[in-house]
Amino acid sequence: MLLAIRERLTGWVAYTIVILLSVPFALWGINSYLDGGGPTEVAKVGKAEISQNEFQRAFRQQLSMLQEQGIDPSRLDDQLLRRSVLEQLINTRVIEQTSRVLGLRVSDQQLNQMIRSIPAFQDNGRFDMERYQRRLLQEGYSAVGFEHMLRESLVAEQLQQGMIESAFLTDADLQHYLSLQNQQRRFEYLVFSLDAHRQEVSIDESAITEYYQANQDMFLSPEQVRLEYLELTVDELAATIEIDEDALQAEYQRRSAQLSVPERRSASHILVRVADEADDSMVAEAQSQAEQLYQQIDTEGAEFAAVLEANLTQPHIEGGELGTIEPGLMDPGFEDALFALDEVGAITPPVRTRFGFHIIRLDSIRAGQTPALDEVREELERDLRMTRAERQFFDAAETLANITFEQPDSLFPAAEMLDLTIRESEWMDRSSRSGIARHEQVRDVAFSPDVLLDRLNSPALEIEPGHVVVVRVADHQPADTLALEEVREQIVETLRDQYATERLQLELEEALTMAREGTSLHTLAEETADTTLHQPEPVTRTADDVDPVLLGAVFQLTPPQPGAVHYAISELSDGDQALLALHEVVPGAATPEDEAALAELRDQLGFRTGDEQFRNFIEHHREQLNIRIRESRLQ
Amino acid sequence: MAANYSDQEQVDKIKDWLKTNGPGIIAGVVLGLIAIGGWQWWQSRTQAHAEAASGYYSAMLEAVSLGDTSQVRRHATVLADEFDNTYYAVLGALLVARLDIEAGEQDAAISQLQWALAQTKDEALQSVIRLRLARVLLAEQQLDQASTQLDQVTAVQFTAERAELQGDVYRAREQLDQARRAYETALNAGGGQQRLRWKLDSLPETL
Repeated sequence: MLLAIRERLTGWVAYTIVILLSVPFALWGINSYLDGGGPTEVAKVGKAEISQNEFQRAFRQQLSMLQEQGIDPSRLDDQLLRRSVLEQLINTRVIEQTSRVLGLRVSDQQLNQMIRSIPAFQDNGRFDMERYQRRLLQEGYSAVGFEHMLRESLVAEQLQQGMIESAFLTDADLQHYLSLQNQQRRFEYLVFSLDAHRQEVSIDESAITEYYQANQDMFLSPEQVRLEYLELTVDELAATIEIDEDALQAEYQRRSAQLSVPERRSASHILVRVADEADDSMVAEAQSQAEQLYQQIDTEGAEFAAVLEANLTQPHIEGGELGTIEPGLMDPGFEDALFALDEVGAITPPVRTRFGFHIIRLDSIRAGQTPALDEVREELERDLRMTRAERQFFDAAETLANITFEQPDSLFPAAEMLDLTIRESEWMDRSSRSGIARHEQVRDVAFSPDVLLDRLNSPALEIEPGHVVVVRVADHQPADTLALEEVREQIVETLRDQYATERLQLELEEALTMAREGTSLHTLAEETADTTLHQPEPVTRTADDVDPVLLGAVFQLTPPQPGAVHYAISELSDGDQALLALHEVVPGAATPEDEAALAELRDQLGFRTGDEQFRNFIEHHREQLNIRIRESRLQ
Repeated sequence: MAANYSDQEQVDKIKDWLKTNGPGIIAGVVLGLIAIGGWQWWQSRTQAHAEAASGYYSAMLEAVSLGDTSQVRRHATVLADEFDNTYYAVLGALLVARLDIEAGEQDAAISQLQWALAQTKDEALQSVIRLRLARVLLAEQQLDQASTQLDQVTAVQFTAERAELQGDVYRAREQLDQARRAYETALNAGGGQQRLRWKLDSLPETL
């Protein structure tokens, strides 16, 4: 059969078929070249992708933002952080796609305007093409990619802003809100003292034992260790170093330039300004005017100050005292001329700088100084000692780490080799904060399996710069149950509280029933010992002279019908309890006096409503998109 | 393919076939090209239309942030008149509705919102507009109409705000038990906790 096919496939028919067949093959091939090796997206949101690049960039931005807020990102759950960054990106994508579905677009012109208004792309307030391209390159964007991203975010912003800004609350809403916020409640309450009951209850021995037996895990002493350790610090090393006179001399020579204070002069000047764009004739004119002023002072003997004063009315002339001038701060031409003057009161002929022509007068000289060796001896000695100690420290720290690692069962060899003393700590547990245990690294390592169970030397820990320790466990005390005698007082207190609270509760329930049956709080107060009746003025939600727990209970009670009373039991912050009677709920004033406060409240609540509506709107659209996340690429 | 043909016969057959079908094919190709061209023309036209609307809308947002209400209204009128088939016109009407509310013209706000609702096909946006409409109707004491709008808020994401407004409607009708249940629904759906607690704890006792 193949033969039959071959025979028929000759001439132009065959060519046609071959050409037709080759087209799809060619096109299929191209695709894989263009893709550049498989998909790399972290997530797909509908048709849009979030690339790994984009995700990493957003993640880095999030990290630096956290750092700016003073939060250490390494303390947060990395996986959770990555997920939240991804969630933000996905939501952004959803907003963008929703905008597109709604047919929102921005024109090239709007995009252009936006780019031109970004300060980062501007030079002296003007858009600068070169700067734009350089910044994009730095941030790792292509121009096309950046413009696409910007376009998307502009469209998303249009949607978001429009929906949030258009949200509102009506006057009725605001009035309702304010009447709730400023609501007042009139109530009275009868306080039942816990202390009185505490005095009355008796605790028998069997109850104490029983409580002790039943709650053994509450009476544990913590696991403890005692450590021995070697400590190496730059400061201690520095104290042992001797600096000889020669070294000191050499250091003094080396740093004398840096130690000395240069000569400083103060000056006044008269400046004939020359504009940046001035042509030759204008410069010449300024120069001749400056020459003329100089002549007035130099040859005609006029006072410098008088000449300045007389000419200040001309717009291009200025001057006056300049104060102290250190070399290297001013225009070099100006400085050279000033420092060339050799006596106070002398003036220079006009000096050209980029500002124009100056006539300079030397007002005073403060001579430069180089301190003598003895004046700086201590400082130099200290610096030298620290430099050498630091060098020695790194060698010693390495030796310490090596020896304690190679001979993990003792600190002695390392101590001998480095001439260190083995120190001992107090007993410490995981919550100790004194002595060597104040360092978190030390606490962690002391209770680690290698150090605690296998009794090995710890690794060398750099607990702060220039401070290294190696610890090992000298002694260990496992967690243990405290003896009954040690915790007896504590148990008695707990039981006393418990019994007293129970009795108080019974008493209150009884009082509540009586109150509901018509006994007034006043009568109850008289009939019950150790109670106090309070009848405060009506209170608002924010009253600060009422116990906050009680206040919460008061405002949670259902408002009674006119003339009726609602009762409830409430705890107080100090453990006492109260029977409270709510008499009346008075709606708050609906309009605050301040117009501005009302407007602010309107904006604030309106924004919150709009923000929530927008989020729910986006949530709805998100549910209609197919979202696929590739967890493995989040790392 | 049973019969055997020589090359010459095949060529003749194809020629015959082309003679009968040729005009049809050409006509088809031409029609296709016209369709593609037309589609692209139409696309670029809608695009330009949308971009023009976007320009007005941006200017409108700018005016909102500057507090220039008359400028906002002017842009919104252009959007509503010339670009009423875009969502920009809808968003514009929503912004004007807010201005109306702040100017105390609740009737005007209602008609803006109703117009926006009629132009909107997106379910979630419809829900948002209905919630806002219900809020104004409630303030106008048109309780039945407010209730009707709320019943048509279909997207589940808006349950909390919808239930809270329903609670407000019941409260206005003094149907306190229903109001209580509605506020509880709103609380469970994650609505503004403090405000809902206040509303709930301030509903008077029912007899």
